Amino acid sequence: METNKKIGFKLKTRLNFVGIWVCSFLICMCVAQNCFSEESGSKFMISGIVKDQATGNPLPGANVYILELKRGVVTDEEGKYLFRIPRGSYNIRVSFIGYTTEKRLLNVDGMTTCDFALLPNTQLQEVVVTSKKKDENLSKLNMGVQKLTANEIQKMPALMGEVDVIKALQLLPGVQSTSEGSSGFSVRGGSADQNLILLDDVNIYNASHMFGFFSVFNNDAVKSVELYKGNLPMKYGGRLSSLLDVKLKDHASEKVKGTGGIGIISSRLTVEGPLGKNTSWLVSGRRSYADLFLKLSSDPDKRSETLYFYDLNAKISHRFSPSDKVSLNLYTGKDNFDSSFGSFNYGNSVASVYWNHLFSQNLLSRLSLDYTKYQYALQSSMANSKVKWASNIQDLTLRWNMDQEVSDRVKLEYGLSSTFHQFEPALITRPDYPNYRMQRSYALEHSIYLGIDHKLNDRISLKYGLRATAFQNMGKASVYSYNKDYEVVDTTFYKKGKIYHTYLRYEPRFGAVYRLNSYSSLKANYTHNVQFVQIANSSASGSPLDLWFPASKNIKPQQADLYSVGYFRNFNNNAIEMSVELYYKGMNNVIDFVDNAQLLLNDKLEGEVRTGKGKAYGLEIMLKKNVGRLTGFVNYTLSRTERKVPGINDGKTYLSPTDKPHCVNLMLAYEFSKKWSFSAGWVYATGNPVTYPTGRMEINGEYFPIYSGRNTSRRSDYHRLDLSATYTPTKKPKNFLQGEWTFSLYNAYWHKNPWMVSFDQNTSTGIPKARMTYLFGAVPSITYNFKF
Amino acid sequence: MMNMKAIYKQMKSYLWLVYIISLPLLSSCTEDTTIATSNSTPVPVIYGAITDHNVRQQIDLSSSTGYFDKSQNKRISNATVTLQEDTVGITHSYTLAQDSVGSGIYMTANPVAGRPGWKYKLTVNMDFNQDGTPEMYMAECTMPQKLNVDSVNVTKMKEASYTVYSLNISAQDPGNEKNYYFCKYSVNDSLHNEISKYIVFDDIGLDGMYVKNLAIWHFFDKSNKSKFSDQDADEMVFLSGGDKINAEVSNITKGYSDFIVSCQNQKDGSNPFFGGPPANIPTNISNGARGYFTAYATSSAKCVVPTHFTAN
Repeated sequence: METNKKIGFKLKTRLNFVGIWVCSFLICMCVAQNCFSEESGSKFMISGIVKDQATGNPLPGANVYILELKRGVVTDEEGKYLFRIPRGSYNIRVSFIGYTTEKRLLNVDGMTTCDFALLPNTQLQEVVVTSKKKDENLSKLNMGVQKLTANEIQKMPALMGEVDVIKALQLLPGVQSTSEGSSGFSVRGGSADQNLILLDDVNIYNASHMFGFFSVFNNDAVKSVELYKGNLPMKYGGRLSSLLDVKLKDHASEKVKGTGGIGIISSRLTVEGPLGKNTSWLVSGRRSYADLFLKLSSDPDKRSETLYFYDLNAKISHRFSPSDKVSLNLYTGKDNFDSSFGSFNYGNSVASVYWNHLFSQNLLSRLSLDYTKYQYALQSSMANSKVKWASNIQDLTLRWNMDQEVSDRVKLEYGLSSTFHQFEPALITRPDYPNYRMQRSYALEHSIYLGIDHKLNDRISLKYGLRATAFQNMGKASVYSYNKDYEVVDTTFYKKGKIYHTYLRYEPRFGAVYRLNSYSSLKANYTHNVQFVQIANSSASGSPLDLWFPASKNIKPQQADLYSVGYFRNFNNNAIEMSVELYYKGMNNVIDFVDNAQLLLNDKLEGEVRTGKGKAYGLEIMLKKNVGRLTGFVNYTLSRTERKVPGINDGKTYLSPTDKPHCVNLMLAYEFSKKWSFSAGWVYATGNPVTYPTGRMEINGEYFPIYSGRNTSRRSDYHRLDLSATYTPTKKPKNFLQGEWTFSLYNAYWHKNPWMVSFDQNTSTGIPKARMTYLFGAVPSITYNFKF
Repeated sequence: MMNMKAIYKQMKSYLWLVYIISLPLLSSCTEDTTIATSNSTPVPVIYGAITDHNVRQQIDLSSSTGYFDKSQNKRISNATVTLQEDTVGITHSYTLAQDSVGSGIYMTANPVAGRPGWKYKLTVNMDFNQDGTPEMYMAECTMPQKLNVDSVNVTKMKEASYTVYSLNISAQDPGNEKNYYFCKYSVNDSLHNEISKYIVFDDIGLDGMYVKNLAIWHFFDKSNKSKFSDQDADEMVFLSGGDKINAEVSNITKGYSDFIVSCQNQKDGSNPFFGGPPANIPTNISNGARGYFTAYATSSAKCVVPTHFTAN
């Protein structure tokens, strides 16, 4: 009876909790409506879409300007624009780089729709198309946001000719690769698992192929890449350091077209097109064939190895009505290594469906259901010890987001999301013995948020909002209690579906822009981020054996407060952009692992975790030239990242492995002629902190190291020059394909950048010596790209 | 019995193999280098294992030195070493003396057999820091119950172009507790007593089960030696048909198991993929000394490496 009462009470509490959410959501909407609706007064809405006249593709980032009012907006991702203006006649000018500018007179005496179709400017077609407003960097409310287009990425020299989104981002200020050639990245001193990586809004848990040398993003299918270095948009959360937002192409092109390439490592093909009037589709694939080189080996074992990865993206969108669009996105990618001793594979699978509904011209709703899974499996096929070890993490997320333009000056973003996490740390199967399954864990993560973009006047704009998240651990589970020495003292069992622990966390975020004049602005931002899941992987390079584990009653959620200020200035009619940003990030409950931690196959993993404080601060200077035959950027970052975690390094402050005080990146692209273009990239970074032995002990004739503290030494400095040349033959009218040859040279002056330092005893004297492994000398490559 | 640690280690080495295979596609290279590192203050290193063999039990005392120091580590010869064994109501005490002057090896005067369930306590008194006052270093360990190994055998297999031998054991795991084991072995009466050659395994997933011919380690045939780099081959043990194997399997404490695993992980520096950050090898010796003091009972079994492949 008492139990029933308890259940009844808990159920009620939970219902109340949901009720509170729904009510607060509705209240937020009403308050927002009432606060800002008065501004819309006697004005009328004019809206429309700007398209490419030749292809019918929408043009995101086009400028729409009303001459009489001296007011302009930039079209959104779907090429749409919206004004609210008084009755009258207006000259509207629409412009976009690479297109002929169009001007039109419009009479406004009610709600008006006016679409534009711009004619491509053939003389300017070779110019880079940057899909943003010319001075967007000055007015945009976000700081610490870097946007790259597929075109910009395509121009950068790449390792083995494999153009890579994440490698390109690693050239931006405040972004570091976690180790040579790795697609793991650190943002403002954060660790690799503090980055939220989204592919069309769905989380990708491991974005690497081939042990990190390539990322899972096929650049041919990518539309845009945005990296938020801490100031996450209100609808996202769950990571401390950054958001990498990768969007795939979704244009409704009027004919089937494709792009592809053949490289020394992989080949790829992307085809997109229409299906009827209202449906568009895209299919994109990539497969590496490194194992073909193994077939040339004289060693019969190597000839039988397989070693490849693939990516497959598919996307279909259908517009049911002018207000309703439904899209289904699928992605699967896998790495496969197979030898006579066994096999190893890992990869992501993603499926998402969303429904965009336009309630009115100023209220867009997006409802989505996303599924993501990362798995790996290792298998030994040796007789006598056949064994398979598999692990995965799966998420199912329901999200509802609303974008609302209350007035020209006020935009709202609000919504809800709920995620079900399932963690499967390990399942070991052996033919002659019972299966061994480490306990799965389950969690729910619910969020509600409201964000407001508020343009106070022509000089001052504000952005503010709040995100609230409840993270709940759910049974079935056996939960250990630890004493102060991290020994298990008690075990509590919770049955299936039982919510046994809840964290409620609030994430306030604030940003302001003060426009000094037409060419410069000042910005300030504050962001509070919370992270509830993290990786148990303390290796420097990040192996594919990622083990994600949730916050729990033993592990508090990680938290970060990021403060940043910046000065932004454009020169030469916005042709050159400069920014100077200062940031300070204070972190609480940051995770590290005790010395000699056993992270895999350990059901008492939480006993290996230590939590403490961290801080990161720095200065980032960026100079970027966007137009002309010579484009590119140079940036410099001065930074420091430290941690202080009781139980590690005797409780003393130590440098984070990602601490690289000085970084310089230089990237230049030059259009020599219509046929030839060249690019060069140079990277310099202080060597990262490492722990080298300071003493040795001898036991049974062998030497073992003794250390004096964590990360007290440094590797030698890292630097590298990459070059590439692209040859584009003139397309003959009868040819179906437009081809392009790219020749690249990675690490052109063969600098031996240390990847691993190991120790060995001299065979004759027995005295230890150090050995350094570097991964890449100068690596030449050739790639053929084509489009039709 | 067996064997998550062995699985993990085997999987790691396999994964590493896969990675190394992919490296020729890159242009990686390893070469000798010099690194700048300071020398830490020397500390005493105390190492000893009390076994159930009726032998003169031994403790090694030496001093740590700078990592790249060109001279050998110094032996400690001015220590007073005592060993005490306890069980309910009974205590024995032994004084250990250096077997030869300057060797740093301290032994009991007479053979003594350790006993499972008894607690062993080591006390070392010496003026290591030479301040005129001796310091005391202590450690203790209770000898775990013996694991009775019924048999060991070796099977010969062909894996691609490699000839591989697996070392298999048959034994009853005690059950109801997590057990840690290690095996050291001799090949043709030559004992591989280096910690890096110890085979460590545990009974996760096999608690209380009888395991028959469970593989705990794999060796390559001597003819495959040329397939490995000289550096790797130097650290490996290769077998040939007809070799006589003696395996000594012991049930050990978790602490000693962690010590062996850490020694093996840290010995060559940390691997960017699998190693965590470099960290000091755990010790159970007090007062800032390094090394380990342990006690275990051993079960030995012999076998001969077959010359013929085992039918699967």
